[in-house]
Amino acid sequence: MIQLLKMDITKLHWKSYLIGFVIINIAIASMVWLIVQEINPADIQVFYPSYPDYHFVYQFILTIVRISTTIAAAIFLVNLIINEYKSKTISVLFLYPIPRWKLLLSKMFLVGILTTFFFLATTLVSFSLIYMANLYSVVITEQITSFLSLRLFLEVFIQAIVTAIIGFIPLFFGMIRKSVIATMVAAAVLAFIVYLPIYAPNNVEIYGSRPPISIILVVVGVAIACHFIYRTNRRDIV
Amino acid sequence: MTYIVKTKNLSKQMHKQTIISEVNMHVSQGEIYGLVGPNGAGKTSLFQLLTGLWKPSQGEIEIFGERITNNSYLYLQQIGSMIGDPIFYENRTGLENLQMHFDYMGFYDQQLITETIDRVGIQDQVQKPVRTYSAGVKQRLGLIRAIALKPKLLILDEPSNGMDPVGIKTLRQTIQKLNQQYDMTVIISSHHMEELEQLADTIGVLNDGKLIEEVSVHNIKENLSRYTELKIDSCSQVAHLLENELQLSDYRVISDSSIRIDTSTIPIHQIVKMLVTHDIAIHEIKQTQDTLEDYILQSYKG
Repeated sequence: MIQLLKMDITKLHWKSYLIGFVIINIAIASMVWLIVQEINPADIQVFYPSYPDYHFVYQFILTIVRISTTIAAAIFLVNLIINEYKSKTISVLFLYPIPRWKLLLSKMFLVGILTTFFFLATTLVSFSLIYMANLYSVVITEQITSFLSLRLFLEVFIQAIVTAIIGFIPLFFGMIRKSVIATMVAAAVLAFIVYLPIYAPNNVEIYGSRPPISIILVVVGVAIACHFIYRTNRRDIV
Repeated sequence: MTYIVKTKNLSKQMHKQTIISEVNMHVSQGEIYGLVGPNGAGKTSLFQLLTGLWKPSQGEIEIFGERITNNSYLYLQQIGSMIGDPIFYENRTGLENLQMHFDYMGFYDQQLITETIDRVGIQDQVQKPVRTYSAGVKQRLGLIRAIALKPKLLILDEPSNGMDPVGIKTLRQTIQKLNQQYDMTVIISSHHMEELEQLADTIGVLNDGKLIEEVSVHNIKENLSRYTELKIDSCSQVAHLLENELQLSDYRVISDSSIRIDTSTIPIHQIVKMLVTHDIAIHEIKQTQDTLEDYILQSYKG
């Protein structure tokens, strides 16, 4: 399995991923920093009394990271799975003396690992950039140590895994016609529906990522991954 | 007799269409088995079934004595194949593609890669990305990938497609060498009958998804009709002489000045002697034999 992971790692376009990663982190940090700097605290304090604090920054970063992670998962799915079908190289892989399920499981596993890592790294880097910017131009007066906790790290880690598994869902739509566009569109729609905060008329913040919805989506994500592996193991490669 | 590949009533239906119908194929150890058939006969489909890319709808496949099921994969360790147009990671170089192949197969012998590249002769191309290759070079690279690990069974689907005459000759020599040196069993499909005539020990004729015939090339050659074509001035007079002087009825008038005589029962010198005696001017004598192609075409017609 490790050998298969290594083989798949060599197929990825690391240079473009790195550039994308740098851009997304700068974009997230700039956006959050701009909001924190430019918005008059009095306007937001109506909804968010403790504004500006690190919790607000964290929540904001988390929302954008969830959206970008779902799209990143789709990019990994496209590069590791959809493109193998489109270019028919999957038929070369299935001629090797390796069970199909193992080949596909390693691909899904790699998508999961990369997506989780992307989530963690983006959250960490964006947050660190805001922290560093705040050292030069203090907007948030709260001490960072009072915000950071083991519970927070655990929460971020669980969020990363949950988002990575939910990120498998676009594979179902992408595999119907082995389409890159379908995968990307499904990921974008999923990300914006599930993760974008919607403000209900009574001003109660509703997140599609609330635990019950997250659990259902995680189950769907796992089911799609299992279905994909099971189905491919039994079907003809056309 | 033990067979390397044996199928029993192998059938495949796809989208309510029968692609392969009750094929009973028998390939012995160390033989070169030529699979022939018109376009759409089911040659590539049969190869896809043998290599597990497609799952049979009915029937059985036995390879190396092992019955192939939906979950079989270990038998692929001893099979080298090139089915349809060879597929590669186009942005990678030929060498990287080969290294990847070795890694997936669990072999790490750089020397073996170099050796195989030298054998097929594309040394100057392997460092370039595959997307820049011509169809012929891709075919050769596909062949290298298929033979590099000296498999027990080699499956080649129209390997000479897109190759120049030099490439075709190299291909033929490579297959013969591998077959002789390593006792490699080869199943090869091709539209080039003369190529198969020189290579194959057995021919399987596939038409409309059915294996019509499985026959040794030796037997085919034995039974091919030999005939002599004579260019003369008067066919009617010669026909008359053949019937009356030599009691020969196996002849066919091709044109006013050309007659074809079956010489499998009578030596040509006797015919010539008789014609000369009767003062018949012979402008040309051509001895020919039906080819494998003629035989196959006859088989298609049933």
